[in-house]
Amino acid sequence: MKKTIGKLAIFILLFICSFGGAYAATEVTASVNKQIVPLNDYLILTVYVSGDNANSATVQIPSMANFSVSSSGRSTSISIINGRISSSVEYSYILTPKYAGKTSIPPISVFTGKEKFFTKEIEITVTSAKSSQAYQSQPSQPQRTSVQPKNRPAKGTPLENLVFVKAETDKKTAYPGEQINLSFKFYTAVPIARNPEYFPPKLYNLFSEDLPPVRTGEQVINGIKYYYSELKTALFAINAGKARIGPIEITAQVQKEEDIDPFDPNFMQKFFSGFTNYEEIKLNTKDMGLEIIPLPENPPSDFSGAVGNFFISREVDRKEVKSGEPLNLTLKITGKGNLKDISVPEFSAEGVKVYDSLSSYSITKHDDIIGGEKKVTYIISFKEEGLKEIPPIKFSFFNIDTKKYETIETSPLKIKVLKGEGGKSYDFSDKPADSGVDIKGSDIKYLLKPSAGLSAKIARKISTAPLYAHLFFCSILIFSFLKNRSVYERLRNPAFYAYKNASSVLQAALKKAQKEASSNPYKSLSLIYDAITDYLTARIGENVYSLPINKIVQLYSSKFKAAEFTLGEIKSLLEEIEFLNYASSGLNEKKVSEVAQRVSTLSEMIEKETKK
Amino acid sequence: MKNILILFSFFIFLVSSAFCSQGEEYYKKGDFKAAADFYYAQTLENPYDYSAFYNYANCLYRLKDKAGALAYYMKAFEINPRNSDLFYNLNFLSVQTQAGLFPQDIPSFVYRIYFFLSLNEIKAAAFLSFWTFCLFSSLFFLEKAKNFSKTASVSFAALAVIFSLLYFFRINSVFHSAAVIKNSQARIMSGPGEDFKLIASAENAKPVKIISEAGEWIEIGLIGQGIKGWIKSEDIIKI
Repeated sequence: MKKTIGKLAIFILLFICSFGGAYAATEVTASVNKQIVPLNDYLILTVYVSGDNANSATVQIPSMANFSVSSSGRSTSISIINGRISSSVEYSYILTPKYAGKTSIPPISVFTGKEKFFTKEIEITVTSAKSSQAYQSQPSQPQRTSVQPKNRPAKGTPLENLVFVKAETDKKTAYPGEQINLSFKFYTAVPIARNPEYFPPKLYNLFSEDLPPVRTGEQVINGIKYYYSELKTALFAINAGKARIGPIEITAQVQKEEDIDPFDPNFMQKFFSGFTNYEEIKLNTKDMGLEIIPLPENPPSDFSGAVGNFFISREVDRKEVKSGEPLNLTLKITGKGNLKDISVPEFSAEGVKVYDSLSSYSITKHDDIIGGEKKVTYIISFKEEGLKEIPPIKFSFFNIDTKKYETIETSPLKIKVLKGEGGKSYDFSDKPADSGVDIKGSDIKYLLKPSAGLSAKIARKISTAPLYAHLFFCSILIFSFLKNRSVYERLRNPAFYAYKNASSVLQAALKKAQKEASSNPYKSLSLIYDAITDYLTARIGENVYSLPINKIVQLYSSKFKAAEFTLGEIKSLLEEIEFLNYASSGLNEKKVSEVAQRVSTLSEMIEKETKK
Repeated sequence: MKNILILFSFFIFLVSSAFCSQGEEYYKKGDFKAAADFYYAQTLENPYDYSAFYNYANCLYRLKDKAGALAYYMKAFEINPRNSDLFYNLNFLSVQTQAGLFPQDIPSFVYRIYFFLSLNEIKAAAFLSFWTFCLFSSLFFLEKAKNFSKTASVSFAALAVIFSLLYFFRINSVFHSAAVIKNSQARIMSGPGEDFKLIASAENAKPVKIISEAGEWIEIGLIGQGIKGWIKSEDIIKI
């Protein structure tokens, strides 16, 4: 017993441990490059996701009132150690502060497709803007100099001349997949309450990639010195034809008065220290159209839409391998272009089994050019020993610099393949190794012979049967059920059933009697007699067959409030039938019909009197 | 008259055989485009012939259109899920495109049992069971072969319930009201129009569930991702 409990405890412990291990497989962290940031600077937030589902993870950046957020790239990496594949993804964001003071980056949720993870909250202190000297160490941030009185706007200058926006693209025509840089500038010659809020444009036949950070500077236009913020976005056209950039909107709160110097590095702090005379303004740019020209005709056969300028290289994790053992062959595509969307070349070679391929990429945005590196790792093995060659891997793209298609390839590579040890081989397929059968690869099955599709047709016909088909079967069921109920009710209460149906039974019997009247009037009369006595039995609720006529009349009058005429008619009718049956010799069809008619009339009177 | 009918059937068989061998000939020669055109015409001619969908999907696979191949294998699978070659090819492509139609940690025989009947066959079986239940119940109520009709009606009622439940589960499977993403980096918006926010982009050959339609925009759910959004109808192939 003790042993069993012990085993069970070990099993539970192992079970818990295995679950613990499974959860530990996914790791999510968030970090910033600095926790103290001046108002006119920015910080880089990095969200790191590693584990089995890292590649399919969705990062949800919460809304932050004090920061403008823009994505600055994503890089993935895949490592294969002892046959175990692990991947990690780094998402980078540029956070530009809006106000000075203590703030925080709330927990960021990361959904891996199965579970949701949250990062820790990060405390951030936003200090007042740096002085101009401090900027000298940051070439990307233009220096601010003190405003020359001669460049100050004159009093009464219209607001549209003091605050305005400008958007332009670096080119008006481009190929699908070619980078187009959109520059959006916000100019102000008056102080603003906080960094303005930017609403990105709607894009048609284009997709975008942020080019952070926000650039700021000063510019003198028509004798007025403006402070400006510039936002850049890389655009890529999807198809040849027309493309459009919708209006870009910005909202800003500008000071109505001009008491505070907008070029003072601490003007926002001054502004918030008590000055509240400001108004909110909305500014828009106009629609911008782009002409997307088609790529030249006759692309190389393996061209899959890559546009840019790329280089290719390859490497293997070792140059000596045993047959059947996996070897990691990594192909690297580097350069400028939208690497994220390019299809990786397929690799195949004689005598080489390709088990799987894994791809990862990292995006760079140096000098506002989208580029980076895409890595594809092919897990391969050699079937036979000897000095083997990995053939060149080709990659075709449209060179955006030369405006021509180019096909580049890696150099061939020699690999020494040693004799493999029996049993020590990796097979990623789920088929067991079969002695004597050398599996060279896998493919789809061959064509099928045509089928008439009869079963599918029949199934379709039945499954789409009209409503009346169902109603037909339902009505059969309902009818039989009602019939069953009716029989049950008749058996349960025969007197009530007879009472209810007395009139219709009488009418049916009279009809039958009248048919018989011409051929056999005596039989017909007998049928009429039976019918009227049956009717009276059913209506009175007592058997009147053996009772004398007077007794029948008495019984009827005791049960119902009967009219004298009805009682007399019952008596007279029954007596006449008896007379005709036993005493009369001149019975004919006419006489029978008259009697039947009288019975019918009498039954109508009785119906009225005996109605319950 | 009978002889004429036999001759006519034989003629139809000969003509169809000749036509089928034509598609196969193209395929054998490696002219997958011509074979694809041929088999596509066949799918329009007989939408109940799963083999036409299968063969068309084979051609699309050879033409490296994995999204199209996946969609048409799924269509063939909807018509006849029992064919082993079809199951193999669908599973093969599902693994290759990471579509996740048949999670690999579940033995394949489980799928073979679960997908033994097509959705139409399940529905037809449910209807037939219900109709037979009605007939046997009627016999029972009319007191004809009372014991036998009682057992039969209970059995068919049970079958009707089982098939109805199976139908309910199967209409929620990935194959029903499904579509496959056709274009790479297909954009998924938060609403039916360009004016809504882009919430995700999806790679091609990814199966999705159709939730509703509004003109040229279709509301879809990304299977296993918990993401719902709207996509342009031109970006997907409906199953």
